[in-house]
Amino acid sequence: MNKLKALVLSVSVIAVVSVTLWFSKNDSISEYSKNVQAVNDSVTALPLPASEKEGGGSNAELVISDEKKLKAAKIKFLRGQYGAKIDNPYWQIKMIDQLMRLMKKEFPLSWESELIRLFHEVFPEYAEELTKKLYAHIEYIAWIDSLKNNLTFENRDDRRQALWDKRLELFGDEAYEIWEAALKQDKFDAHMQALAQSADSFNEKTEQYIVSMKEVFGENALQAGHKTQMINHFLSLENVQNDLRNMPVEERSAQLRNYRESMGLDDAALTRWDSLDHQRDLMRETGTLYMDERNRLAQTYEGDALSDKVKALQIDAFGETEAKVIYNEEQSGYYRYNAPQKFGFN
Amino acid sequence: MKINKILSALAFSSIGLLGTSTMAQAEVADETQYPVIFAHGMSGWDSIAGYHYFGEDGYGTFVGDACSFFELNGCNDWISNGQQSNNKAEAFQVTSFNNSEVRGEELYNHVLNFMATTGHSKVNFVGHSQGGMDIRKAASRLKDNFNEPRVGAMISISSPHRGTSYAKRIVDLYARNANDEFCGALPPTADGTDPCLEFVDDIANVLFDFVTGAGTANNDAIAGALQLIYDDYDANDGVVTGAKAFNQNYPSEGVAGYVGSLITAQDDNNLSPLLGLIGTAVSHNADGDGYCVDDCNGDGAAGQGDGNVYDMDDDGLVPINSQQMGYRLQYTPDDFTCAWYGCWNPLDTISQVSSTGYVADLNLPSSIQMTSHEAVLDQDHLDVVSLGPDDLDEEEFYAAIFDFIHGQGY
Repeated sequence: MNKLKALVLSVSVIAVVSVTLWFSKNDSISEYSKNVQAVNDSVTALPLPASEKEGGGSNAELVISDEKKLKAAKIKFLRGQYGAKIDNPYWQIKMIDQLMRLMKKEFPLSWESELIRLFHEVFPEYAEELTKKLYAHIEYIAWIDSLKNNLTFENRDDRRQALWDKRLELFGDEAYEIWEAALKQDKFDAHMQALAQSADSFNEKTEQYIVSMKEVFGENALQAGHKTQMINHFLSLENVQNDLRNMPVEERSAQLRNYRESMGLDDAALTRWDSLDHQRDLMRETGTLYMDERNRLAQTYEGDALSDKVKALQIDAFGETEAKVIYNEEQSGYYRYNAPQKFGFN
Repeated sequence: MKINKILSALAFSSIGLLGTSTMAQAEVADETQYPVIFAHGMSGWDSIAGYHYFGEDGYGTFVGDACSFFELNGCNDWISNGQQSNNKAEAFQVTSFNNSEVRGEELYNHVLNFMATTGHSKVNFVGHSQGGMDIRKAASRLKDNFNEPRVGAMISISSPHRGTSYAKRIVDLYARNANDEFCGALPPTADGTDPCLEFVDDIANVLFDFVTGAGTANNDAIAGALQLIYDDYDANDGVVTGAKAFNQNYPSEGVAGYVGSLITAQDDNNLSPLLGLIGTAVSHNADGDGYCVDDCNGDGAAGQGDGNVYDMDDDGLVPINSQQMGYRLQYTPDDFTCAWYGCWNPLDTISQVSSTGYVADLNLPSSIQMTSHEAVLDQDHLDVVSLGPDDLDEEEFYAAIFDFIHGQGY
């Protein structure tokens, strides 16, 4: 009977675990997680603090034993959660951030000392480093908070410089890893500012842009996400728009296609873009004619008569649906076709 | 996600019975069916791949970037890989200061670009602050263009759908003077530059570390402010402005499969110092949890107060009676939990609140929809984006939104 119970229990457990694995999303146990698991195996092999080791324990010590198990479980969990990346300054700060939130909830008055104790229990070899970073982080947060109370900086560059000075002061060169994304953005902004001043041809600017992207975001920059953003960013430059504006229509279409192709778009995407560009060019043509006619009407009519004429013109030019939007926009003071076309955007 | 949570707990129980243990795996949000497009608020920005409006406080990361095997830094480990690798998370820069006619049109065009580039034919929208109004126009334009709705879920966060009294105070104090000039009350600058632009720029500098300037050429701070006042500000200025008219022109109904909103508010004592400064600068503290039809007390926002300005009735910029669109959503942080047999770290959750019903007509919410404090997220207007420090984990918060959108079938 006992064997039967054990068998039933084992089968149940295996079934539950199997079902769990089956239902677990592939992405939740992704390649990355597998990597974490592999590294974690070595991290969780770290010895538990002496006080957490399983003792023999009498029946009277069952409650204490459960508390110890709970603590051991927590330590094991945190090692699993953060162990694979514990030597990375960015993830150290992220962990500190997350644990600070938890500790503040659990120990509103003594969260700081409890957190430091946790560092020693979970990652004894890193405890000193983490404690140092905790204090640096607290100081940095307080400094950032204080900035909100005043208008200290003359301009954005001053503010940016002050931010980096403070980060380097508190975190040393590790600041470049902690704020790596911000650093990349800084570098990319600098490239963009230089490109915005460039008198080179459209093609030359395109090449420079792609080189800059790869330099800042790596060789795989074009394979990474945010391709729409990356395409947009270059085309948003005023001098690039001027280049496009000065081209004949056919050349502009060809250049835009080449640019997007060099940004890694496939044939299907290029065809969709051709169609969208074409639709927008047609709308712009209609919009320009509409504005001319609208201005002519405004010289002839006024008041309700003008309103009626303009409404009729809107429907005639754009059709009922689009006319309603144009009407709404103009009511709000926005005249879409007064601004020059922004190629690749409207 | 929920079934995973239950099964994970069961698995841990079972493992405990066996007397063994394993690594606890944190959950990740389920990948949404359609891409999630984020829309920033007034004076916001997107960032190309670095410092991000929708990011973890101050680190330059984007909440929609998942961690991949090769990318260990600057990513959100609550997001599934597919969300990023399948181009399903993006944010676009629209003009920082302008009305939602302009910004919504720009957003619509960005989405068309996105569709052309990626091949996606539908999107979800998540809009913060004025971004929650912009997405309504963009969704409407998409429907017009394709003759059918092309938006799955449309979710606003802290959005002033029915105006905000702060905007009216700012316009009253700064935008209208004898010469009808914005910032006309400001003293001239020593170097002769436009004091208004200096003022706006200073605010932007204080608020944000990095603003690239890209896409901000159409800035019109007056138009932006007037958008956030419920009624038409001036019947004689030749234009029709305000949230009420915009709501009539671009309702939330019929343009998206699911419509919901997260509502933020905080006690005055806990507000970001910057928001406190704004309140002080305009000598105003909103009382935003009373009911009436339209802007019955003329403060610039629909509804009225309940007589107590100090409670959680606004988030420092937007009153709660302005924020509900569609269903009200509840955010529930879910910290890691331990029992003797193991620990697990479930994803935070977003759920739909039933007691506050559904706001179908944005200009006609019910009394309970304007006054209820249920499910109001205890964060200020800026806490839910990357302008920290604050106690919100933005990465997990937005991951929970991804997961919720997936749960709605989008």
